[in-house]
Amino acid sequence: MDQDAYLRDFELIVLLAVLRLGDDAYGVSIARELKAQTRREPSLAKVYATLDRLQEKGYVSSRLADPTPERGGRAKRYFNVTAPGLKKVRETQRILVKLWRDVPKLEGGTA
Amino acid sequence: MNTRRVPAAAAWLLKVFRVTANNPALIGDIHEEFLNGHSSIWLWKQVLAAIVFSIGKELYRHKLLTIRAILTGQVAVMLCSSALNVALRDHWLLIAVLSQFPSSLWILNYVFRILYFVPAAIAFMAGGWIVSRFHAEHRRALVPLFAIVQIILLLSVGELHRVIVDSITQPRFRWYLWNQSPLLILCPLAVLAGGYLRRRRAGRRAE
Repeated sequence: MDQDAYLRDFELIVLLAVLRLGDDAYGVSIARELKAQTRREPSLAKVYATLDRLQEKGYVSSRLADPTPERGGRAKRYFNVTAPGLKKVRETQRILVKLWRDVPKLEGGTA
Repeated sequence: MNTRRVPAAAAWLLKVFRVTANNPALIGDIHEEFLNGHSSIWLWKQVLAAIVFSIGKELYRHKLLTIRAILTGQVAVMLCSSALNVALRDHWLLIAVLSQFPSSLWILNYVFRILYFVPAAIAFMAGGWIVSRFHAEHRRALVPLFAIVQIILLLSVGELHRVIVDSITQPRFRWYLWNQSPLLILCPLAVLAGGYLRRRRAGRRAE
């Protein structure tokens, strides 16, 4: 079975957070966005592990900025969603919306 | 100006488990958030998560090596344990008597009891050393994993497991559990010491 056929739930959430943040997507801002939207605070290590996996699959790319003293002399790593990543998000959205439709239990409510 | 600093112990752990070298941006993020006012508990949770993810990633990437390390380490523990059992077969009674040496201080009683588990600790140390010796490049991930596997084995099979199960239903067995408990402390420490011994010697050789 093709393991890359679908995005895992957290991978999709992280990709969406990176897309929402645009040029300001780095570890801290992504974790903050996830906390704001999901009301759960993921560990920074989990965010990076997911981003590394997405980068290996070619769905995100990263670049290092200049090191700053307030980060102990360490650089920020900014992330961007690549074209295959964007395509994958659209594909996942299409599949999810298709599955969502015509489920009687999910009709007429927001919860 | 913010004068908070990431504790030296946290920085040391991150360095030892290669998180700093593998992902400097993550350490920068932890640093930044800690200076922004997150608590020490938050910091330690992040540090532990970073170490667990770093070790997990290394093990996931080298699955066969991980299995091989656990098996070779386990064989080393079993061989060493058997050899010590044979070597000490005439002295077990003396060790048992010494380990039960009565003292008015409970902590001294506990220390004497540890004596009984020294041969087992040596076997665990040999296991840790073998894992480290034959998997030098990945020892930072494999030695802690081997220590965890030994704890799981101790808790799930053998004498300690039986005593734990018995002491849940029958309070009179809790004394035996207390007697066996030093093994749970000694086992991971011995494995890590065995792995660390190898690293120190390798480091000295490099100098």
